[in-house]
Amino acid sequence: MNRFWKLLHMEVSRFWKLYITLFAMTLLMQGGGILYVCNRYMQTVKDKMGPAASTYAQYAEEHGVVTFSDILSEAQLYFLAPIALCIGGMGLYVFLIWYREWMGKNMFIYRLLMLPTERRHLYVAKLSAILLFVIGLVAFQLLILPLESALFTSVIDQALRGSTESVTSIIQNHAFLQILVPRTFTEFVMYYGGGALFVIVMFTAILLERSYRLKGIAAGVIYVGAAVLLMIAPMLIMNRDMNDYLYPNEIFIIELTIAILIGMMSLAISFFLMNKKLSV
Amino acid sequence: MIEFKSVRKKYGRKKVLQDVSFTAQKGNITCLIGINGVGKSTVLKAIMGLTPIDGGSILIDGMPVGKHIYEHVAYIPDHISMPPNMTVGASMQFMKDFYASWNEARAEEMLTFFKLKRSDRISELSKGNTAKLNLLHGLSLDVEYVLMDEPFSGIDAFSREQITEVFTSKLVEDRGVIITTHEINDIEHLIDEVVLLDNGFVKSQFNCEDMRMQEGKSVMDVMREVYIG
Amino acid sequence: MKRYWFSILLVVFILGSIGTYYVTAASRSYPDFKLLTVSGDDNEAKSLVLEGTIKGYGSLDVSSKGSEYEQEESYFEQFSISKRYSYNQEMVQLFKEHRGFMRAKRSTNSIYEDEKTLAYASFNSGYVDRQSKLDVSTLDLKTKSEQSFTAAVPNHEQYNYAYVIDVQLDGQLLYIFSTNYKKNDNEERIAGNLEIHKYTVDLNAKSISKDEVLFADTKQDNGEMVTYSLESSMPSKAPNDVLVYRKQTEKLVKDKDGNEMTETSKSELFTLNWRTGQTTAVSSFESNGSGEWVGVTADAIIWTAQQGTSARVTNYDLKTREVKSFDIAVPSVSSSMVSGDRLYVLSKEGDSAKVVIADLKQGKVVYTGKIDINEQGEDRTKLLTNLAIFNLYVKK
Repeated sequence: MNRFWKLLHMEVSRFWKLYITLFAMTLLMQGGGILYVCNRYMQTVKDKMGPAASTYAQYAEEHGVVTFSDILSEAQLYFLAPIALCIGGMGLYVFLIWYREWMGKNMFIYRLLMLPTERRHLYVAKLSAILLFVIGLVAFQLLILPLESALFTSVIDQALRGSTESVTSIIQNHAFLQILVPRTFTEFVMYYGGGALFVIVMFTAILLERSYRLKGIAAGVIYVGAAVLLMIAPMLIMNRDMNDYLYPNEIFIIELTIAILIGMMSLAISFFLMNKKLSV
Repeated sequence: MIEFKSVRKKYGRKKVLQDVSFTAQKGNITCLIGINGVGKSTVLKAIMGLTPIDGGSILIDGMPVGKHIYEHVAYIPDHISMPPNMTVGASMQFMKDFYASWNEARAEEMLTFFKLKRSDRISELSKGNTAKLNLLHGLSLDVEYVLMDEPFSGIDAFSREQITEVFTSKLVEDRGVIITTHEINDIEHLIDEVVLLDNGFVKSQFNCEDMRMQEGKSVMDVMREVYIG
Repeated sequence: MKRYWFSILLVVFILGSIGTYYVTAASRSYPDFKLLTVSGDDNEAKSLVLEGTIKGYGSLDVSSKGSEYEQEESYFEQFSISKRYSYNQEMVQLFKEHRGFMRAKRSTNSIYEDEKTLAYASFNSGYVDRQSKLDVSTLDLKTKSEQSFTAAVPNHEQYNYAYVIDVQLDGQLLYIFSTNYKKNDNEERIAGNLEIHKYTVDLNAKSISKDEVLFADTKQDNGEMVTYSLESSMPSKAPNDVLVYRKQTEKLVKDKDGNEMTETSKSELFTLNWRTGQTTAVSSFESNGSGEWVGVTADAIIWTAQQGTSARVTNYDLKTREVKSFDIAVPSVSSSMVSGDRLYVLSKEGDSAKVVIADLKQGKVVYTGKIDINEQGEDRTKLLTNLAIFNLYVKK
């Protein structure tokens, strides 16, 4: 195995305990939330039916049936809170994955910069690790969604349940999940490519700070601002008198080009900083 | 040969190295001497490419600093540079994974000599043991040059003795060693070449042997002349 | 390799989970609705597209060839302007033929086209600010020379907002018919502040040479309000001497909760020859009743009225003022449109949607069809009940 893969593995193994904790927290909060809401729903049904010996089927006839999607929106808080925590955690880790190396008296950065390999391998390993962790969390959500659906099936009586939904339709009908897991694989690549671009730009800002310290913070902030401005420039120009001047496919191509240019520029700056300017 | 030619370096407005030139030969132990804060560590970091220099050039066997030097030069900083939650064994595995020049047999030998346990976490090691493991990481590499930053500072007498023993052993033989220190007493008998640093300049570079033979001065005598007189 | 199990497992897990999801999503089968011919010529419905949605599967287009689901579309199709404007084939055609000229031009009503000239006029941002102007562009279809300018709008400070309903051309004079909302300080009803304007733009002088108020909302002594609205015609870019407008008499009534609401007491239809200024009442038009408005074409007004199990279609010829009527056998009209000399009517009959195409010239039905699906029993009923068609257009 070459050194890049070893570096990537090292990043993964340094995070895995926290990572498993995120998995466990998501599973427990979502599962618990869905279980709680399902049970509460059954209780409401029983309360409404009263002691009279009417059946679930009759209740469903009168009050309608419930689907897993209904329960999901009812358990919104339990469902989205762990996702928000994971997103926040990963956002923080974008910074931590670098600053960690300078922390404490045993600065690991000495060793990392002295590894007999291209320093950009270190950069790419950190970037890949972040992407791997994020996509891993999405994969985990995809894995536990059917399990949560099974939980719903086991608690709610069949007579009260609406038609079974496929995982695809559960996700595509959910306002937030359809962003995390877009409809087509192309979109998935686009969305997470956009996310990678964001991480690359943040990495550039971090490396600017690490190379030039105080002045670097200013440079980093300006760099991020410039990148954002560049991304929205087509919109800003168009929203003046020239409303809709560009056709949608033109806007797409322009945005894609800008994104690729920003990405390439950021990588070039980052690699330069790592090779020439980074200081322990 | 490690060549330092008119190297300049400043941190903010503070000029740490103003014009530093010296050479360190293979097979010699070269000692960088100066009071704290004169830029001794900066010199070592600059050789390793851990901090950018503002001017001048550094050549290692005629080659500029780059990733290829890390298999030829080992740097032992004044602190261990491994994550604290790593075990001794894992840190050795890490070195083995990344360095082709890692000599596992020698590492084993030193592990036994220093009486370190593989299962211990780095964060739980005593100061002396941490320094020993640090030395192990650097010296187990089959490299031509070893750079050591203050290997004896803040270490108990017993550990110091063990470390000194390493210097006189075959572990250091034939290699080019650059060592920094602010107190010369303990190691005067070990070193071949001295570079006196002060205020960002090289005050003097001389061979200890020659100095003693020809002028009858110890390193301390020369230091006194340079710094006080 | 053993040391790397966690990393390897993570990668395998990601590939497995995400891969499985997208493979499943891509291989998902969607119900294939089809428009089937019941009677008449298949070719009549060849280009007809029915837009709808179905629970669990999202929006779809149904035609005689089958169904196309939005969820099956590729990611890039959403950036195609002809896909976005599929409901408006007139615009799609223009985007295709005059891509450069049509930049920043998205309003159907603002377009005029004859054999020689393509023209576009629109207010750049309503009347919200003082800079508000009228943007005018013309394209000579022979020489391909483009001309565009911005003209100051007379008395623009009197209006909050305005939009173009129709554009007509006569030599070097461009006529803009617009609906203007007058500014009002005391938050009166918007409907009482409408004016229909006719702006004359001199293309040589590049300015508005005349501003006429054709109609303005008026309040009558009995408290009733008379409002006017101009009907846009289809296709709206076509040259047309005669415009159609509606005059409505409304009054304020209170519902049982005491909320004020307007009630239309009378709705009349008129034609206006903008060259001569002559107006004529379309007396045969009855607004109240179970009728459905269809629209105005370059040479006729068409509406339907439900009469029991069939709908009576009325075709009012704008030039000859001749009225022709014929019946089509549908229990209700849920949607309808005119393209060329064909009338397309959509009706919900039992579970399935029914389509009737009539020849307006001859006044007879030439095609009847219904939406069906190749499923049996309960599934079929359920799918057909869940399908909701809300619009139809003819793909060019």
